[in-house]
Amino acid sequence: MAKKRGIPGLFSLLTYKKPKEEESFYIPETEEEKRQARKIRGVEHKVRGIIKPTPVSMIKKVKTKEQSKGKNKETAREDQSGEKYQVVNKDDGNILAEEISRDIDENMELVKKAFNAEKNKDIIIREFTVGGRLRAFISYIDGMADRITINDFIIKPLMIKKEFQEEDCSLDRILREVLETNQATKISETGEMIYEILVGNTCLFVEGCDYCVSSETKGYERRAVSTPQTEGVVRGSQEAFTENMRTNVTLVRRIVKNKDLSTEFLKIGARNQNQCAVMYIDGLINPAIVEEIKRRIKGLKTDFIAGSGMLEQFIEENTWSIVPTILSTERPDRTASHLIEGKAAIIADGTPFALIVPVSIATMLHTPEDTTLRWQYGTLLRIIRIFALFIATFIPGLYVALTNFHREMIPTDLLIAIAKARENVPFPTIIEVLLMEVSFELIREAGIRIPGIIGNTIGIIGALILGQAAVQANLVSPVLIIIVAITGLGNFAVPDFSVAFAARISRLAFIILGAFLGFYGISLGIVVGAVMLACTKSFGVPMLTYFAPKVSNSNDLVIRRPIWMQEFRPENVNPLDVTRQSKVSRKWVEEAPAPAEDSDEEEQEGKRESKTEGEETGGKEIKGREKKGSGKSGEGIEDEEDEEDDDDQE
Amino acid sequence: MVKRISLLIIVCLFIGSVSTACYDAVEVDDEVYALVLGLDKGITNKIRVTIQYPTYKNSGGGSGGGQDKKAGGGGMEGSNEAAGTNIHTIEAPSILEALDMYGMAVSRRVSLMHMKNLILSEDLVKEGIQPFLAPLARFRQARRVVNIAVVKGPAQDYIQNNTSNIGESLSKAMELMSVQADNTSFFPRVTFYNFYTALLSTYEQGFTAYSGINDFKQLPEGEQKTESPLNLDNGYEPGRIPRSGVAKREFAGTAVFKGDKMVGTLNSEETRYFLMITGKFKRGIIDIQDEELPEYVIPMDFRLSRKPVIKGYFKKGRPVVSVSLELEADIGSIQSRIDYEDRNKIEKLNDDAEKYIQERVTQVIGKVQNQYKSDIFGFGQQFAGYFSNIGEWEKFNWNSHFQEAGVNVKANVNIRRTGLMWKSSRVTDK
Repeated sequence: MAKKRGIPGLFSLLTYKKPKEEESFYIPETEEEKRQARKIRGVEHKVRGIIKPTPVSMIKKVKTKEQSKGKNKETAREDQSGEKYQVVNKDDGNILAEEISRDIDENMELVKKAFNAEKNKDIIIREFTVGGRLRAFISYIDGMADRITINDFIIKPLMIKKEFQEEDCSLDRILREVLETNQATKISETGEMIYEILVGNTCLFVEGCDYCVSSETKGYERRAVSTPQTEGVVRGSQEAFTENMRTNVTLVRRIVKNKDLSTEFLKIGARNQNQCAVMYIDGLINPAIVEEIKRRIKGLKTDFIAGSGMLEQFIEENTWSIVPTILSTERPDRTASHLIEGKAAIIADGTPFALIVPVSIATMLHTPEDTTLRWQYGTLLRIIRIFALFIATFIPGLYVALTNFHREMIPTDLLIAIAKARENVPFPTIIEVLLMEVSFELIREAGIRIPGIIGNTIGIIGALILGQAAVQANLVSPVLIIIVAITGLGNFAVPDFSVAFAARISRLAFIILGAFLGFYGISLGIVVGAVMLACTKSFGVPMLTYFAPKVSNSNDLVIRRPIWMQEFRPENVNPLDVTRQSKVSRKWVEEAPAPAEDSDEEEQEGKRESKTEGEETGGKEIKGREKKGSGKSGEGIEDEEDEEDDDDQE
Repeated sequence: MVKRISLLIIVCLFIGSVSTACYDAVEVDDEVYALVLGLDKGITNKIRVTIQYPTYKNSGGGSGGGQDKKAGGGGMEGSNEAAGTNIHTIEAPSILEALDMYGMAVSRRVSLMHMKNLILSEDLVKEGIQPFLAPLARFRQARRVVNIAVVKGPAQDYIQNNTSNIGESLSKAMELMSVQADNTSFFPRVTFYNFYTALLSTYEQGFTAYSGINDFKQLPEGEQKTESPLNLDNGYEPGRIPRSGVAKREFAGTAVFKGDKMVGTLNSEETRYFLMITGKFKRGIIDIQDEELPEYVIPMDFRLSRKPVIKGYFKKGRPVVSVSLELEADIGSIQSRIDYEDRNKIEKLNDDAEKYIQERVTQVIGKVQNQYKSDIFGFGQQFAGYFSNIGEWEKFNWNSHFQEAGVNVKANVNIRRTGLMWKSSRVTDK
């Protein structure tokens, strides 16, 4: 694709080509179906619209082949960048010994050289003697380590301890008996030792030992957990992630108290050696997803990844897609709810956001508020949000199309009003719209960049100058101000920042389409957009799942059913356990109400029970799922559920 | 291969959109939207076309009604301003050419997209309107939901007086004026579509609303007598309503067509009974004389409770139509304060009302049959089924048989509500 230049190159972007490598996943549930299908037809078949899955192990093989094929291309680049890393690494290896030696002077030299201690004053090397006779030193980075811990629990016990006997290496004993830190590990590799010091731990070297002990002393300045900045809710948790990954992981773990919640740490960024955590619930998430996430993150060869934003761009599937394929959230509770749905969270150190994969387009329009509110309210909010997305994307385009091509569709009075308003405006509608759109975007951008102290100015500029004065100066018509204002409101109501961006960009496209081709153009745009969206995948899961590859409804997609009806997890991520709760999640509806003092109560109940049983045998038969006729009111609800399920399957 | 085809499609789309895009694009204010199209007989040419469109001035509208300056005759008459609108009249061989001819004087393109009313002068329609309807039926801009009305006198004069007296918006005034048909049933609401299909139909004839200008001289002057006479069954024709006010134009009654020619009119009262038969009667207050005290009336709010059941059959070769009306009525007031709400008396009132309606409906049918010989009721539809094919039906020629049809009318009235009172009691000391 990239080889072609010029116009043919452009067209090749638009034309459909069968992808050379199919990014697909091993889905255990479909293996059997696949095998049978192959037996029957001997051809590839589609399982519920999902492209035939191939095992991850096979993908790896394909990958390696691919790499060897594309090597010619890549080697050229590696000469410049890839090789460089190797040189650096080699230099390290040349200068620094790979292993820690027994000689303490040599070790001190090693640390000094590694951290360039002559110039770099951050590295602290503190020499002392253990037990009055063994030479030792500790090394840490000033500011990254907690001084009190080092003073009280490392240096003090070491220096007080007097009776040391001669041993081959006394560090073992120190580790066992002297050090009072909670985490301490033996390290013998130089690289590992350097990393430990870099992240804020303290390394202890003792004469005669060919390893050092790294103690947990991380203690740098960090922001406290505060309220969410972009995803505020009225009801629900008010905690947000911070920049510190450890804190973030803890915040999530505090919500998901599950022993299967696993956190894997992966290094990202060769030069800044950042860390990211991949969190998932083992035994619930489809292993293919974890496999794929780790494969992608491990496969990154870059020198600097500051946080989730950069990481997202590195690991996302489709760089050219307007719609984001990774959900980014700053809320631990939202992260937790996704983990429990069988998705994975990636938390990178440095930004207060977690990345959720894989997601579908419906998820992007959810907020945590939907779940904390009662289902009617939550559904209303979702419908409003979908409407907002529609407005944010289409309204200016529709306005241009209507006024330029389809004037007969506008009510007469409105049309006359628009004409009156436009009478003194010297520009065509399209210029008007673009002018206002640009000024609105300017206000937005300026509003973010403006220093807080003079922040009020932006309101005056926005409201007075662009709103009122522009109309009075006959630059734009007042109707247009309303259009742009509504569009802006719609855009702000879209919960996901990235989706809002996508709406902003496509809005521009729709304005141009509307101006050129009217409704016809807008419908073309919708078709193209829908096709593009249908082709987009998030970690192998089509973005339109549930709609395009039809899967069963989790009852929490667009219309939120009552919470007890949400028996299944979203099927699009193929979790190992799809059931969220049993058919009857509210056992109390099956039970008799708490017995009252009245003696008549029992008789009445008996009567009612026999009545419901009679109805049951006469009417519909309940699938032998639960014990029959055990409850009175419970039966009714079960029936309802049955019907619901049938609906879904249709 | 697929790639090439898709490439070709994209190229075609691209070229197509680039070369044709914006071709049809017109800014809103580059056109004027004629709200009324009036047709008169021409003097020097076939037809005289009048349009009225709202101006885009900010002060457009204003109070008081337009100052009408009538310009002299000639090819093109000067444009007048009436309450925020401009009026242009032009003589041309055809409507569509007239629209283009406006372009010589009006600085923007005249569009019929938002036409509300089509006004035909009585002189024109009495000679036949076939040549003038055809272009409107075919022309893309003209909507078929346009309300159509025949006006007494020249359409040009009518349009000069077509102003919005309540609000600034003329289009709203005109839309709501036609909605008044539903509120009073004094005139029908006929769209171009209804009218046009009726003209083409073999079993019904066209009709339109009838309107005119009131010069406010109809309100009788003179001494008020000690006793005002009770005068029921007043049918009005446009221009004859005894009233004064601001709006000179008024709608009253129906213009009856036979073929493409207007043959007569129904007055406002007759229109109500006519609309009852066609099922378009929405509601209307009809005064019924109090049988016990004849100097008093009982205004009742009538509405059709069901679609009228019309059946047609041949009896000894003669077509017979039976019309069965189901009406409901609410008592508006009982001036005599006789206790008609009483269970026994309300039956009596029902019967009176039934008799009253039945009588007048029969009269209207009789008038149309004898005077106009035009089946505006659409009775023919009931008889078309008796013919095995359209050829036979057309040979039968319903229109010539309509006048000899026997019509049986049966009205059933049920009084439902008695208003805020459930028992009338006499005013004491009277």
